[in-house]
Amino acid sequence: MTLEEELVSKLKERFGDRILEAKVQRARRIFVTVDRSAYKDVIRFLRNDVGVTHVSTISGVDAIDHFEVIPHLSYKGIVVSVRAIVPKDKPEIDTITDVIPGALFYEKEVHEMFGIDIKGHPDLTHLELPDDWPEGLYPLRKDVKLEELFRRITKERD
Amino acid sequence: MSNIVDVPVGPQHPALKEPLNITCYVDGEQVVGAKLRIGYNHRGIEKAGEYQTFIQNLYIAERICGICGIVHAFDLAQATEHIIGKEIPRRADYLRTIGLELNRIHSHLLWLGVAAHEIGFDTLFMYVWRDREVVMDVIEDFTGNRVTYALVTIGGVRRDLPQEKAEKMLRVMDALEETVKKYKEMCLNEKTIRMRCDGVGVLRKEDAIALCAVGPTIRASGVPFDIRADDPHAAYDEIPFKVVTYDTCDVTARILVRIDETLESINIVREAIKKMPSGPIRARLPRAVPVGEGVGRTEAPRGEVIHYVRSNGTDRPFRWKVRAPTLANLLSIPVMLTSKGDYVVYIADVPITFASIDPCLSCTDRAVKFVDVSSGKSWVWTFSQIKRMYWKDKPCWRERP
Repeated sequence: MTLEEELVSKLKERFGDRILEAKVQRARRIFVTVDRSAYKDVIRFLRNDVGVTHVSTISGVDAIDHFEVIPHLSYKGIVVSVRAIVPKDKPEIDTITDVIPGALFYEKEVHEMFGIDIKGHPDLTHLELPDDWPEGLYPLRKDVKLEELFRRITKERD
Repeated sequence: MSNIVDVPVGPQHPALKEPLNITCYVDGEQVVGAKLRIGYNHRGIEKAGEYQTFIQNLYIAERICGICGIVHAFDLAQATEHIIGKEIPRRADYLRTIGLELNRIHSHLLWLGVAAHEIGFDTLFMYVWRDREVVMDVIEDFTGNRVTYALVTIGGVRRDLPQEKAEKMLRVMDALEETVKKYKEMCLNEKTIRMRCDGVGVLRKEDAIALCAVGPTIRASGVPFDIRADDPHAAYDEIPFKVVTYDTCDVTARILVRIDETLESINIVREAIKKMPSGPIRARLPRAVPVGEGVGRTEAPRGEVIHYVRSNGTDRPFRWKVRAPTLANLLSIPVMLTSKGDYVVYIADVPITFASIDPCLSCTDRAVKFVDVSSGKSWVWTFSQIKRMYWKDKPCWRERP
């Protein structure tokens, strides 16, 4: 059994149904989909029991009917992408900064780009967007078109 | 604590990619804390990428960073190839490796020059940048451009390396190795460098791991974290090289890691030219990318770069996420700039400490605003004024432990 398969079976054994999907895409690439309620437990398990210390980044995705928050963790050269499904009517998720402090900036980015509330995050001010950025305008959401972004930024600046 | 003064460093420097504001909390000469604010040059490339085709995005990706352009184009191409699920010709892997390593050599030399300048050693800066020019010429010879190389494409590379160019490259590598060895000697023995860099900008191993630092920054703290070795891509699985680490955790360690890595890179280029198989340099892959997702990563000169790409079956990405290494290393800066116990940070060390992570921006003539909290008076100094103020008259003004 390869290291990748071993990791997937460990996760399945520990979390059972709370892991919605787990697959090895290719050598050193694992994608795991988890329920939002299990998200932090999975990260904590990977940190404390498996020994993952490095989070490469956290990708936010607007998948039209829901949001996805995907931390890419690095473990012995394997990228473990843990996908948490976040419903659009209640866009919030637990922070993982208390488990992996290096996730601080990445969570801020997900918050400001997608409007997903990171519960328990110490500082949800802007990271990349300016301080006078229009309230409630989340640029990487799919329903925000380029024209609208341009109009709102220029209008509110003038 | 009424005598704590806020010193905002930055943000504006129009010439470079990521202007950054560091607010240093200063007690007399000592920096007791620091806070960061970035985003002054946010360009919205991820959003723009969703409106362009994958091929067009390769050229946008090269413009994310003017110094390590091949890295971003390579990562995007790698992630896209993972989604398509086809292997690319082996010769293309080797050519990409050569491109990535030439990128690293010129970037590390560029940084060494900048670091020398930051500690007030401008002679070294001039020498290093003169020698870096040779590498730029080799890159131009190989890819056709000094920057924004347009070398990598989805499915391979766009330019081959003919025999005579490869031989010229090998000759340049031989000459460069001698020079870089000389610089290493100089950095180890030159008193000016050692006095300015030993024990400065310390990032302890456990902090580096907890804050997810990458690249030479974490390797200078004694952690052998190198994507080329851990997650071999391109032709790194067939080329032996050493992951350089130093464990003094200070600016000197970061200088030495980069110099040693330059020497390793020279060897990798030699080895790659020697082992490179003949054959096609590009596989024709479909323009419309099937539904799926891919993660591409590589070791840029500054550390791990990761691209996440999601496709919905069209020729445009549904989502394209980029994380450049400077963002991962920024969290370490407040730790390096905080005096703690025996470890004392002085204002004069702020430029080199900040420059030691090799951020995609320079400190030169960055405006610094000083605020005296008790009187409410504020004034602006440039870094060159700080240098004059604190370095000129007191070359050895600080006792080293």
